[in-house]
Amino acid sequence: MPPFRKILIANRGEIAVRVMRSCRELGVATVAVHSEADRDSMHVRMADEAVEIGPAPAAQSYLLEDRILDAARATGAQAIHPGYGFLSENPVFADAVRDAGLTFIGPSGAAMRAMGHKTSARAAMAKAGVPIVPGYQESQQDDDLAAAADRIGYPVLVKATAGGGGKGMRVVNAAAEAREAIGGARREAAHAFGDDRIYLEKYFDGARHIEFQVLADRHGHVVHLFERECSVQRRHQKIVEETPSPVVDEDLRRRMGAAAVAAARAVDYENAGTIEFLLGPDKDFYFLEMNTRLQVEHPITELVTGRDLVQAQLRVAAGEPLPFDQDQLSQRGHALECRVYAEDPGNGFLPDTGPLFTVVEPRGPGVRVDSGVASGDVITHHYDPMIAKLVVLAEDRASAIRRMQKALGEYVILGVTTNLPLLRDVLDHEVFQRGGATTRFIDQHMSDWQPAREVPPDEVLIAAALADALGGGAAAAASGCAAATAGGADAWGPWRRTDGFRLGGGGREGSAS
Amino acid sequence: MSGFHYKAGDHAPHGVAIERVGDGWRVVIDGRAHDITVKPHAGGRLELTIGGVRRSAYVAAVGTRRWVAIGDRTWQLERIDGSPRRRAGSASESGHDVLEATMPGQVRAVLVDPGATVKAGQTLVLAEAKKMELQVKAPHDGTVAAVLVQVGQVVERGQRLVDIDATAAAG
Repeated sequence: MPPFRKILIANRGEIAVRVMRSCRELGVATVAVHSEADRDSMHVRMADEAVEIGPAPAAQSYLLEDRILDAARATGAQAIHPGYGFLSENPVFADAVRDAGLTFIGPSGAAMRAMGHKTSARAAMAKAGVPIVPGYQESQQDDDLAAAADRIGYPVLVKATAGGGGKGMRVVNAAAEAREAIGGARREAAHAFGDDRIYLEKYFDGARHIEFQVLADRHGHVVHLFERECSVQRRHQKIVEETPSPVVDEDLRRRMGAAAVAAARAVDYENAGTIEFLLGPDKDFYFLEMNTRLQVEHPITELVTGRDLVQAQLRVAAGEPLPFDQDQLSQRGHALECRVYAEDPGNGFLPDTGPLFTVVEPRGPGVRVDSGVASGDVITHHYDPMIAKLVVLAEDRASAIRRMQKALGEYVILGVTTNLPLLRDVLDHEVFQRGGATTRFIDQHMSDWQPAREVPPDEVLIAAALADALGGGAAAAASGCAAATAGGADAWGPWRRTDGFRLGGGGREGSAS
Repeated sequence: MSGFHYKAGDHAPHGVAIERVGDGWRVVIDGRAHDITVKPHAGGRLELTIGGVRRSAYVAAVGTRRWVAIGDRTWQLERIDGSPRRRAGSASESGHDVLEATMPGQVRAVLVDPGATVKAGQTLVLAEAKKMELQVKAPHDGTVAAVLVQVGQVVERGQRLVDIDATAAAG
């Protein structure tokens, strides 16, 4: 029996699409909410029903709790799945959903508060016997924080109390940098979270980022679904994830898994969550934080465990017991995920925006692409510039790396600069291949990274020249772009469409109708 | 016979001469001639037969920028027909530096006024994009000749933010 008749997905892009796929399999009807800019986006196209909730900026649409609740009432949705980002870790929203008589597909507001407030989470974990990173959280005075940074010893990490996703986070390498970093982290935290409180943690240089997926129901069952290694990061944001971790053995996995379950139990956790740990060079591990939502990188866990985490989320939220216990869970094969972004890794990872003229996703055995955009869609500056998550499963790590290398090479994305060339170089790198990447990998091995700059072979120039020469002729007709053919003989599909897309400021005025 | 010029990265531009020959095309690149037939497909895909070998390519463009995906790689080219345009706001000759937004975002704070003396590395503008803070810093000592944005303003990539005059800094 389906856990719900109909649910609303309070998100956009690939995660909204991902949640809807599971809903369809379960026979649950879906409601999308969307901004004006997303009127024709993939998640809206996929949903059974859609409600427009405001203009393009997230603060006037995807973050408006009342609009989303109104949309749920208007469509008769019984539950709300928040995805990740936006309102997913907002306890006020979680409570408001429940106060409205609806089901929030996620943890309680109380559990979110306990874990979302990073300093109280550290205190709760210490009490539950989960090891925590040495740090300082006793005062908000700049003088006290700077003095504590000296005591902890550099490098020190300045983090936002309300933080997550690397926002409001600064590494301080010496006393002289402390005050500027504290000020910068405060401003960023205030903008990102509306809360300028910060705290300090010891920064481990050769550490790895290892996280454990947990699932809990309201009948007292808590399981973990093993680890994800997320050490390859740029600006504290993950770009390559894998499971199993190349450095976690059975014994360590058991101990970290037990700590993850204890952490979830300590806050009476329900639904899906992730416990992030730092793993030191000596295999000592420390609780970093808990993400009280589904993670971006959840697909690699799904692939090695063979479990659908979104379906489990829905069942648990409907009050059903977990569909499996710890003994029924195992890891099979090796999974990798690469996050494909519209950004320029050769220029400080600056996001790129624009229309995606052509997107051709890789396919084949063991290849999964979770994307929220297709050819003809637009990457705007309003939202995260992630284009897709490319995920592979193979029998072992070496095979998974080869499969990912092939898939990255097959991926065609035309219209924006992407990080695909960087991802290929990460996968090709000797340190990554031997499983030696720590959180410093990008800084240490790729800080001066530039795309390969060979002279283009003749066939590249031939293709460009023929496309230009064909201009408004056969190509326009064959491109299937009505706007281009209507534009006259000098307009070849993408050329003419560009102007409409751009003038629209992220809107869709230029598209064919 | 028509021709196009393309530039890839810092390499010298390539001249590509192209003319129709029967059902196909003759393309000459830096003196190398290729006989080609082409079949356009949906989605910007071109099926090229070059010297009897058939290959698929995807081509798209924004303004003068061209993307070509062929084999397992995607190339970015710049089309530079006619006289190449000179970059606006080029610093060295005039002694001016126009600082441009390197990504789209919103201006959070303007920390200098016109006429202010600034030091190299001094933060002039704070912008926010994707909830990341961007600091626009002075590239050298100088004087603020003009502030071209206001707090709260949404800026596009390449939009001019601050004009710094280096020559006036001597005093």
